[in-house]
Amino acid sequence: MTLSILPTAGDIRTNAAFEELMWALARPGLERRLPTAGFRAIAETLIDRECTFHAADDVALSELLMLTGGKPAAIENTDYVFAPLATAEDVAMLSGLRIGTLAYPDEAATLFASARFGAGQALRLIGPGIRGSLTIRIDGVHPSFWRMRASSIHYPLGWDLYVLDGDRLIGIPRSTKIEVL
Amino acid sequence: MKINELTKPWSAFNYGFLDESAKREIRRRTLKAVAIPGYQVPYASRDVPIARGWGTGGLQVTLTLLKPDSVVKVIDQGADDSVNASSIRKFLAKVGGATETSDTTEATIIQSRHRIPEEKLREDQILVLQVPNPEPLRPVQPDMSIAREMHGDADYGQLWLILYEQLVRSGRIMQGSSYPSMVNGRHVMTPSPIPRWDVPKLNQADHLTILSAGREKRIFAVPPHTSVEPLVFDDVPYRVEDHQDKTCYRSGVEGFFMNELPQDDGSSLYELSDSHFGIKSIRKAEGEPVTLGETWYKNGRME
Repeated sequence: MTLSILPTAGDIRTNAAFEELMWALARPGLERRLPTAGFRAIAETLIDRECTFHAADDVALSELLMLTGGKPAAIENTDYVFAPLATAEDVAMLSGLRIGTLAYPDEAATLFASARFGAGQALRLIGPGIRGSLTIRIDGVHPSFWRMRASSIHYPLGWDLYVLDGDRLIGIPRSTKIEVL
Repeated sequence: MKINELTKPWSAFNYGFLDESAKREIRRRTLKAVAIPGYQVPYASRDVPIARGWGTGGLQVTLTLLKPDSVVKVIDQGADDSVNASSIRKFLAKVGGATETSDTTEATIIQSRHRIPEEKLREDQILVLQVPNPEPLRPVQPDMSIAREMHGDADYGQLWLILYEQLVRSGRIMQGSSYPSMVNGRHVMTPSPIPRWDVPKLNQADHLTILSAGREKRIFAVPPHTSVEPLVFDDVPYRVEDHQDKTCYRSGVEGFFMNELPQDDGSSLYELSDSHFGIKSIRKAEGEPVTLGETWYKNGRME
């Protein structure tokens, strides 16, 4: 019997996207490159009919996420949240993100947001995956977001963050402490 | 939405053996494991064509990470050539088109049972450890629901009690493998049944370690540059096995973790546990152009 051992184009894309997502969390603050720009690769890599998602007011993204079989849900009980961080109102919407329980801290949300790298607010990151400390710059995020993150995360409770700039990706897990410079 | 929008065209076989929904689930669980170092994330643990207890957890993680240009090394108690290690490695090559290797420095994914290679792993390498029992609290708390609450409360006092009892009874800590270790100052994990010799290799490492228990359906991880501290008392320092002065009878190499081979006359011979490191050392001594990677232990000591 001959086996077809070649991955399909979709398999290659999701495998590569997962590797980037994994290394982004394993090495917080270091830029990784997704195989394609935008949230599409992330959606097909992680989300299926076992998941819930919340895509704020982004109708196009919601339709895309529906195609994975995921179910839209309110922000308070959602696994995967895609949301803008540009204004104070955007940030206030996210104060109810799931942070898990002490017995199951993994039952928490993952937040995906767009921003611009290399300019704007300087952040110093320390924590697992970072040798010493690392300073990054992220623009397009309202200043209140970093305060909101600090007050809602009580490690190991908390949510994990991915920031996207086109096909560039930075992961900031809950274990990372951020100093706003 | 129609059913055919949610499915893909029929095919006899999916790349990497696991179907895509199984892979997506392991991906989601793995990301949580990396985000909370040392915390045991439950996962579904699908069937794979080896028996539970023979590395199914590690195999599922490796299959999820696998791509055609992966280079895989599989270790069983330090050896690349055991039936278990060879079978898993061949399976990965067959269902994933991955390249097989025994050389630690060439591998992109290293799946291992009970050892971490002697050569240092780089920051682009992933170590997948097979875990028989992921719960460090099991000797003190057989009820896993209560153990989970104890992890939530960081209630680890009883683990020190076990170590204390060993000290009182035997004069030294007898825990030979699976030494309970505090990860990122929060969760105690079992580093899988690696010897005490290997535990310091996880602390502030350059590589990513993913530990997966297939039978127990738990996955946990140690990201790079994360603290992994074996539980010790302030006045009783952590001790690795006394292999500093042992010499491998085949390669003549000193100062690494050895297998002890009892002899008929009651004495013992020693050979390097990391089999391919031994092979490379012998080839190098014979003048072949072999480069040994940098090792964690130098002259039997770790800085």
